[in-house]
Formats: sequence, structure tokens, C-alpha cells
Amino acid sequence: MNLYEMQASKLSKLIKNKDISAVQLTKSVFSRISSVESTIECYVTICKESAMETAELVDKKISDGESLSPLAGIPIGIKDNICTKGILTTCSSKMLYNFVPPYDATVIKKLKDANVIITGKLNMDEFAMGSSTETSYFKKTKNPHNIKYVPGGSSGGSAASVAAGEAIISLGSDTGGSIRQPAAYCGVVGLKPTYGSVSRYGLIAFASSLDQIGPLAKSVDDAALLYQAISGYDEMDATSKKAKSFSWKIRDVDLSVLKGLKIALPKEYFGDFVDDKIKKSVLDVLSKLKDNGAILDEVSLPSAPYALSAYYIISSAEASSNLARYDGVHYGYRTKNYETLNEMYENTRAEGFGDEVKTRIMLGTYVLSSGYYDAYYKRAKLLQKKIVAEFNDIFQKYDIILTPTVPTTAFPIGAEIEDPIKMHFNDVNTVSSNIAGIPSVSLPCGKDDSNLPIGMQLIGNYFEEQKLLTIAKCCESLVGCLDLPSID
Amino acid sequence: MSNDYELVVGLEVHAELSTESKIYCSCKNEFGLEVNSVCCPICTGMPGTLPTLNEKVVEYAIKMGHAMNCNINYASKQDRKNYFYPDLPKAYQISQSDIPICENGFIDVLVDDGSIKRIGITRIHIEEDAGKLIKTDRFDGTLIDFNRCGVPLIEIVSEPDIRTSKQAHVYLKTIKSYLIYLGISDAKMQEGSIRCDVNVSVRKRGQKEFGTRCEMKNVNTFSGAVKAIEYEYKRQIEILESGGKIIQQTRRWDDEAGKTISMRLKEDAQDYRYFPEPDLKTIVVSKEKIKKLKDQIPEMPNYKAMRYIKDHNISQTDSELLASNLQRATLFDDTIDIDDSVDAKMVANWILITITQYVNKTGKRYDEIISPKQLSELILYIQSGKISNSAGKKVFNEIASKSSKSVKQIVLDLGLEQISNEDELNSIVKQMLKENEKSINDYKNGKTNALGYLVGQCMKATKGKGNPAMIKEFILKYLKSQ
Amino acid sequence: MDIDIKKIAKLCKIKVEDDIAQKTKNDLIKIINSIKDLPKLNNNDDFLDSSDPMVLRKDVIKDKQFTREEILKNAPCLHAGCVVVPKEID
Repeated sequence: MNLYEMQASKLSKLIKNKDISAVQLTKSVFSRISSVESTIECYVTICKESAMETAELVDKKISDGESLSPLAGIPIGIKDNICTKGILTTCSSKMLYNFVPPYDATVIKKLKDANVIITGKLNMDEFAMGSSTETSYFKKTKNPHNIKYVPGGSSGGSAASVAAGEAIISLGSDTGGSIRQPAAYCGVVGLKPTYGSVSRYGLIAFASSLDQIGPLAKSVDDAALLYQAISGYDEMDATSKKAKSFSWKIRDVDLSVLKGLKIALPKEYFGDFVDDKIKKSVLDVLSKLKDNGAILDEVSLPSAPYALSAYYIISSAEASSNLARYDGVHYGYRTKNYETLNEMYENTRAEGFGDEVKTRIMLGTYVLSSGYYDAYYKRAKLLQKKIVAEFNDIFQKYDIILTPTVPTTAFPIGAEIEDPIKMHFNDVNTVSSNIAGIPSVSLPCGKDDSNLPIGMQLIGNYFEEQKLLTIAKCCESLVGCLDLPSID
Repeated sequence: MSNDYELVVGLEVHAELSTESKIYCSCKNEFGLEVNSVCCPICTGMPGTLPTLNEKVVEYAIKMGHAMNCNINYASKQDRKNYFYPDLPKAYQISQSDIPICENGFIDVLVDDGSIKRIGITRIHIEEDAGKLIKTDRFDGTLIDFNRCGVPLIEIVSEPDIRTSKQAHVYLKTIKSYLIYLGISDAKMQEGSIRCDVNVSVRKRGQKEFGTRCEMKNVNTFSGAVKAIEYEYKRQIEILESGGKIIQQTRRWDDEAGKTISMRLKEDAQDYRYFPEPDLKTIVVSKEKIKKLKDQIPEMPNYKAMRYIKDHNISQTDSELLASNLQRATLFDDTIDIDDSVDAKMVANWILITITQYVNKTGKRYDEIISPKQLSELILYIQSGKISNSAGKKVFNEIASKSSKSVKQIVLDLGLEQISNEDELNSIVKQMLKENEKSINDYKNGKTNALGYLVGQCMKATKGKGNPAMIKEFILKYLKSQ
Repeated sequence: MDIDIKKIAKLCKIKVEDDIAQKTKNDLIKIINSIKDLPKLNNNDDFLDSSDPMVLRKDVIKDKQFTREEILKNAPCLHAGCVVVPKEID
């Protein structure tokens, strides 16, 4: 097996035991990038030189006998909406085509302290708005399982890079499903952590009250290791929460955890809109869980049908304000076509943003505008509280919630881009966790008839990532991690 | 002022707070530095950055709220005010909309005719300042200096209770004195650390409804505010008298031209799309902390001045002067407290003239120069005639140059005791009068300054130690008896 | 329903050419229609959460963390240490 195909949890041991060097591993990943990147196109910026330098430094530290973190020497890809000092950070938008941040995001600082190897910046939907990575200004990333299909979005580059072996693990961000949906489409594990458990300082904001950074990985263990490295209270982020620190040990799976486990199945997520093959795949997992002693119950989340609307209102409103700073004044793209200040503003923003971003900004501006605030934004925020209460009710009686991650598997490139309503519907099973701020993880549980991966979603209660990932690991052992696809 | 129309004015004052760091980042909060030299990714609104609220800003706002008798909201929040302008890097200002830190207060101001006017305070809220735009004729473009971005501001909004331009002037002066008293702002208009927007409307006397108001933004001086109000009052009355209607608008005060000029009509009014700031959580201040901050509030200068007028019969001008500096006022209050037989007016005069002169000359603090006990002793000595006023000044100089001796000791050491012994003085006077027959005749012939000469001669004879009031009294008695 | 697309475009400072204004308007209307009427809930919420208060930052300066050059490095147009924008507003 090639090094780039292996999991971080195993590679970590090999590096510690000096069976392999960080340089070897990094070379393996970059060699893989060389062979498949022109097909997959998941990178906006590749940082080979600095990666090799860091790898050499890590090897030196190891040979000096320094005790390093579990992720030391592991090549990790970073979604291009996370600020990396001195490295181009574009949000896959023309608006930031030349933006080089003078500072590192907090998660990047933590990863550097953990001696991780940053491979480069990964492609995404522009400003994280989208479910297919097709709105990227630079390129369309392909799904490694079938290059005619989308990898999902907005963290399409993050998911594809892991599935293609172009990064061992990667960081993405999730506002309405942007980690979990591409994870499902690409057959990898994707975790959206509890809101406030990972610092947002340095994450270029889309919807401030919903955004979270999270890991995409080949296995639950890998995702947990990366989550461990990036989570924790940050005084630079006022929405960051103080909680017991998360600690993950790589252990053999213990299926006894499943005995007596109470699993809730909200019927609103299993509706007719979910593909039959996906339903079947998830039901197969459920029956295996039941065989191991889990108790399954159908429940209801009455506000679920409204969650998608509430999500679009809240996220567009916040985005319209967060993206107002892109005005051509002191960073980023500025139009060449202006004489007055207003012309500069209006042309910069017309030329610098793609259509999906512009539509969402206008939608957000509309719902916040005078006379509409109460009917839309305020009402959506009230509904948010109701959704939180409904989840609380469920978690009083149940340990975990299980649903299909997405209603369909990956779709062909170009198939949905003209139909925003259809595109938005991809988020229907994922948005509620963002609205409530609770953690949820997607993991592969099978394939459809076209060999495209199917994802199942586990949703946990606030700050219960330990429980969530333990149960996910059990499910993973019952289903098996997907093998990396071969790419021609 | 026209008798038919009533002037209605409300004022919004913005004051920059003198915290160490800015409101949402740890950059230095300092005026007058080289352009763009105290900036960071947060206050320049770079992608990915987040605000963190400075606790001192909340404390200072609460202190001002206490001083202005406001309700302090123990839980409040921040909101985004969205608009585009080059000095606003995020294209929104973090401010407070529906739930400010302080609400529903009042302030009593001492108008120059001695009356006291109570002006309601609607609210005090916290927000961030914007940058500065630099425009010159020499350059075809506007330059942006982001240094001021993120400087903390409080906005103090008054009820439309002000009825004359004089009241407005005094209100502004009182707010400025409050800010300085509390030590929360240096309130320097010339540096822009205090600015005001003026809202003016008029209505026929007796009318209950308010007229349509016009807002004058960023008036740069207190006197400018007064002139703008008076101009607007006339302008609005003229329009109404000629059958027109006042259009609600924003206007600019042009100091050179001496008039207000229209800036923005209501139709073009900005839609700020306020919504709660999602990057910040609820601001919660414990009841204990709110009380602790209240205990730190001294008696404010306007109330001090009112007390000095009422309790000690000190003139309004002197009372305001005395009260305007907290150290000065404290020295006064503490001195009076020691022995209430002391002459308050004399204490006031000494502080305002001799001691303040010394402060201005040396830059020392009032409490470094003389203690209340020493001042009380000194004034009592003068009051009782033990020493003369000019001798008192000598004693003061000794004390100020760090003498640890008591007043009594200094007087003894310098031999400054005034001769107030009646017999002693009487005999000196008799002697002087014998030697100055000519002056006595001059006085009898109507030359009244001969009296002053005679007093002066007696003072010389006593080597300046004679009690001049007594000497004068004896001379007059003698002259009358002649 | 109808939307004043020009007014919104002006508010959010994005130029919308006449030829695509209609399409943009239609897209927006479609989306707004799809945002189902959310149920009417208790509207007295002030959106305060005293049970989760914010940690306030101590008033301490962190000086000289960034030079002027670093802060202005990404600016499209500079002069005399300042960012430049047009003088005329309209």
C-alpha cells in the first residue's frame, strides 16, 4: 500500500517508531498530487516547498528525541477560506484572488504547533456558498469516485483531496452541511463539531452563527485526531466555548458500547425525497446496530420542514453583512472601471463576486431591510430556538440521532447549477445541526448502483463529540471504511 | 427668541473613551500617531477576524450612566449597523440598537442665570469609531487613515428637553466636565474626542406635538452648536411663517458661512439593517459590579457647584470653577469638613487664586501642595486676625515647598504674628497720627486717599504686622472724634 | 409578490445590469417563495442569553504586532502610507 493511501492513525505510529520519515510520507503525498491533481483539481495553491521544509524539521525533531503530537509529520490540506499567513487565501473567489493574510487562523497556529505538514489550500464553492464546488472562480473539483460527478460542497476540495490521496486528512468548514455532504459524496468521514468548540478566528466568515471548522478524513480515528488538535477555547473568538478538552486514544473498537444504546430516527429525515438506495443502505446499518443491542425508535422533529428556510434566511442575512467588507477599498479585487466611489463599490462587487454569492447577498439584504426584519430574520431566529428545544427533548430520552446525510448521491457536474432551489435542497438533512449548534458526523455506509458513495449521519448533543465519535467508530467497523478509488 | 415659537433641541454626544486599548482589539488607543501605525487585522476588518469586547469600555459606560442617573441594563447586546463608507473597513459599525447599556436618566445643569434645568437622558450606548478620511486639494483622491477605527465611543442621547441655545451650551459643558471628572475621556473637541449631533425642531407655544426635526451632524465646537441652533430656529420659523413645511433632513453646519446646509433628505435616508452582532454574546454585568462602580462615582461637578452656591453663598462663577476640577473641589470639601467655623468663601478664594496659580506654575497636584488640615488652619489664622492675608501667603509658600511644619510653627518661626492687640495698636496709631498732621488735615478737607496713606504709615510702623482692618478702624474713630 | 431589485442592489452596492435585473429578480422571488411561511412564534424575545455571558477582554495593549506595511500589503492603491479611494462619491 502506498503511504498516501494510509490512515493518519497508522502513519503516526510509523513516524514515531521511525519506520518511515515525515519527508518520505510528504514525498508520497506530493507524488500522488503530481499524478492525479490535473484530473481531480482539488488544490487552489500547492505548498510543496514549505511542506518539504517542515517535514525535514519534523524529522530532525524526532531524531533529536523530541516528543511530538500524534499529527506530527502528517500532510494536511486546508480549505481555502482559512487564513494562512503568507499563503494565498482566496475563498475560491475572484474577490480575494490576490489576498495574502498577514496572520494565521487560530486552528493553523495550533496545527503548526502540532508539527503538521500543510500541503496547500483546497478548492471550495465561492465563499462557502454552494453544494458542489462548481461556483469556485478557479476550477471545478471532480469526485474521485467518478470524475464526471461533483465532489459536493462547499468543502469539495477537502473531501476530494482525502478520497484521492492528495492529503492524508483535511480541514473544511460547515455552515449548512459543507463538510458532511461532500464527505458523503466522496466516501470519507466528515465532522461538523459543536458550535463554539473550534475557534472561528481566521475562518473567513460566511454565516457567523452557523460556521464551524472541522476535519475530513479516511476514518473516524483520523477525524478525531484532527479534531483533538484544533479544538479548544480561544480568547480571540468571543463565541468560542470553554468545555472539557477532547482527548482521543486510538483503541480497538468496542462494540459493547452499542448494547442498550438508544438511537432516535426522526421521520422527517427519511421522507420520500431520500433515494431508495440510500434509505436501504442506512437501514442495513441500522439492522446491524440492532443486532449488536442498539434500540431504535422513530421520533419526530416537528420543525424540521422549516429548518431549511430558516437556514437560508439566517445564513444569507449574516453573509450579506459579512461580505459587505469586500468593497475594493483596502484588500482584494478592485475594478478598473470607476471614477467615483460608488462606481468603485458597485462594479468591484458586481465583477468580483459570482452569481450564487450575489444572489445570497441580495437575499440577505432583502430579509434584513426595513420592514422585513421581523417577518424573516427575527422569525427565523425564533424558530432556531424552537429547533434547539426539540433536539433537547430528543436527547433527554436518546443517546444519538441517525439519519441519511444527503437525500441523493453525487450528481453530474452541471446538472443542478442552474436550479438553486434544487441545489439548496441537498442541505435538508444537514442544516438542522448547524441551526442547533450540535455536533454531527457523516461516514460512508455503502455505494449506490453507479458506485457512488452513500453517507450516513450521526447527530449528538452539545460537546458530546467523544460519545458521537465512539459510536461512529462502531458503525464504521460494521460497515467498513471505503477504499480509496482508483483514478484514471 | 420669538415668543410664538418654542425651540426644541435634543443632543447626541459622542465621546471617545480613554481606555488603553481599542474596543474590539488590543491595539493602542492613542491620538495623533503616524497614519496607519496602530492597526491590526481586526480593526482594519480583514477577512476572518473577530471582535472581542474591552471590559473597561463597559465599565466606563456604566460609570457615565450612574453619573447621569440612568438605569443600568445588567444584560445588553451589540448590533451591527450596516452601511458603506471608506472609513468603515467592515462596512458595518458594531454599536447597540434596542438594548443599550444605560437608559432613562437625567442631568441637572446650572444655566448662567442661576436657574437649574433638568434634561432627560434617553440612553447611553457603546460603539466603535471609524477611521479618518484625508482630503487635500493637492491630491486627486481621498486618503484613509485607519488608526481611529475601533477607538471606543459612548453615545449619549438626550431627550428633546432643551429649550434655549444657552441650555444646550451648558449641557455640553456639563457633559464634558462629567467625562473629565470620571476620568473616562479627555473630551478634547479639537482632537475630536468629543463630537455632537444637534436635533432642532420648533412648535407653536402651547402645542403638544413636536414639529418636524432637522439633524445637524458633527458640529465641531460648543459655540458652533449654539450658533447652529439659533440659525436653525430662525430658518425653521421663517419657513413655517411663510406657509411652508419643514422637511425632515440632515444638515451640515458651515461655521464660516454661518448657516446650516442640507445634506440628505429623508427619502435618501439610510437603511442600516440593524441585527444582533453574531460574533459577540450577551454582555452581562453582575449587580455587585454595577453597585461597585456606582460607589466609585463622586458627587458630580454640577451638583457640587449647586451645593456651594446654596450652602456657602459662593458666587455661581466661582462655584463652577471650584467644582470643575475634582482635586480642587475635594480640597475645598475636605477643608470645610475639618472645622465648620472656617470662612468658606475665603477658602474658595484661596484655592481658586493662590493655590491654583501655584498648580499652574508647577504642575503639581492640589493634594501635593497643601493638606486640608493645613489649609483649614491657615484660613482660621487669617480669619481670626492672628496673621494678615499677605503673611498668609508667606506661610503658604513655606507649606507648598514641602515644609512639614504646622501653620502655628511657621508663623512663629517667620515672626508673622499680626499685632491685633488693641492697646498696642492704639498707641501706634496715636503716635502715627501725631506725626502726620498734614494727612489728617488732607482727609478732613476731603482727600479720602489720605486715609489709605495713614493706614500705610501705621502698617510700616508695625513692620507690616499690624492688623490693617483694626488700624483703619482706630484711625477713623480718632478722626471722627476730632 | 414584487421586489424592488434596484433598491436592494443599491443597498448592497452591487451593480445589476438592466438585462439581468429581471432574471435576478425572478430568482430572488423564487427563493423567497420557497422560504415557507415560518410559523408565528412568541415575538417578545429580546435575543439576550444571560445564562451564557460573554467573557470580556482585559484592557491591555498588545503593541507593535503588525507593521503598516503588513496591514496595507493587500491594498489595491496606496499613497503616503494611506489607502486611496476616489474623492467623488457619485
